[in-house]
Amino acid sequence: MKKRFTVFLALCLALASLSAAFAETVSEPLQVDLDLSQMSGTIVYAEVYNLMYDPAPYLGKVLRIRGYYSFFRDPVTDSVYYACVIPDATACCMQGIEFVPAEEPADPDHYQEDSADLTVTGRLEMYDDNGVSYLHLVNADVQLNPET
Amino acid sequence: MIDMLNLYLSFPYVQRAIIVGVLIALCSSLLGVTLVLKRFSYIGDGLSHVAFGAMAVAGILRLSNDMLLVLPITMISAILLLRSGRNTRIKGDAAIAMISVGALAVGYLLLNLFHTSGNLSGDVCTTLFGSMSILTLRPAEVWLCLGLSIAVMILFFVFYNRIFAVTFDEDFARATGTRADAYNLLIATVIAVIIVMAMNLVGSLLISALIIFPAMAAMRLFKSFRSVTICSAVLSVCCALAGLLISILAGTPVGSTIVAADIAAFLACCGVVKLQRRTV
Repeated sequence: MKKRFTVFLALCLALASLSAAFAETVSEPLQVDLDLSQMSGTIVYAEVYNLMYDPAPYLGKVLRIRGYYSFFRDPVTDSVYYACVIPDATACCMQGIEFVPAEEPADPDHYQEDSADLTVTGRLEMYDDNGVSYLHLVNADVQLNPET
Repeated sequence: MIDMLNLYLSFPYVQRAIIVGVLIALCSSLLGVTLVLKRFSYIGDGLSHVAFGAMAVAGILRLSNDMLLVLPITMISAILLLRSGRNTRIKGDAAIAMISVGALAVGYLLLNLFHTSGNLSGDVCTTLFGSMSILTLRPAEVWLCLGLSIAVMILFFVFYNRIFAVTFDEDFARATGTRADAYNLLIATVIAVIIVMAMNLVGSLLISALIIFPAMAAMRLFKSFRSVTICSAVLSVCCALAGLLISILAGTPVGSTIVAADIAAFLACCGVVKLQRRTV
């Protein structure tokens, strides 16, 4: 009886540790702190402008933005930079936020093939490149929006 | 919608925009009545184009605070325009047209030749139509606007009687010992301050609407200078608030939405007058 109980206990422990390990591997959906995708175009543009001007209150927060896809390939380093571009209501001014996709697409044109309209969710971080500070959304989840 | 509005109103830059929008609307409406009565309705447009040209020069010179250049140039132009009506070779409307178009053309030319920003069309569009300027104000700019607005209101209320006299009959005011030139100079200076402030709200192309529409709407309903001024101020503030809130909720351009609200108020006042005439 005692032996059976020990085996049962060991099995339970093994199952518990296995499920814990499995839970760690499944990525939890990001808790969005600021969802700009649901706000009006005027507010989104102003919010992104203020974010770029004074990023301190926004750093470390998970943002969700909706805009147009754009990418830039550095001809020197061959690095690819992805961005979500948000136009203002008059469509003459634009603000863009760089993002680093959680899953790097094989081809930078990947998103543009289907639709240029994206929703990007990621954590805002600042990085330094040759002494210049830039902002980007890291570990970004990129969703293509259906054409309306 | 109410939840969204509450959320938007909690943003500091929206609060700053509302404060500045109300102050600019109030100041522009106070002087609007005087300008309309003096047949200088279009001076706001001319001066705003001058301010655009001055802003272009300030951008090229990379001035950190462009107000230092824009405000004095606009003030000098306002003085020149307001005194051009008397004893000058070029009369009022021609002078306004020349300065207005000239400053706009030279400003755009200079921006193209010596542009310092990567987004030239964006800069021009922002200056001409206000774009989102009102929602991107820094606290220091709000304080400056508050100070200038208080100065404009104090000047208007202190010199109300003199402004009234100069507005209705400048020759009579001069004959009774009022220093009409000095008060014209005061009006010109105040107008220049209002124009420079209003560029943030509606942009340089739409400033005239902010000055003219509330005054014209109030003139449909009232006849005395005091009543028209008060009604114009109330209408202007209400339209600015309504336009600002509609634009942030519906995602429309701020300047043109405020002007659309002003037009709606003007049409409503015309409608009220017509209804009154029918019932009498």
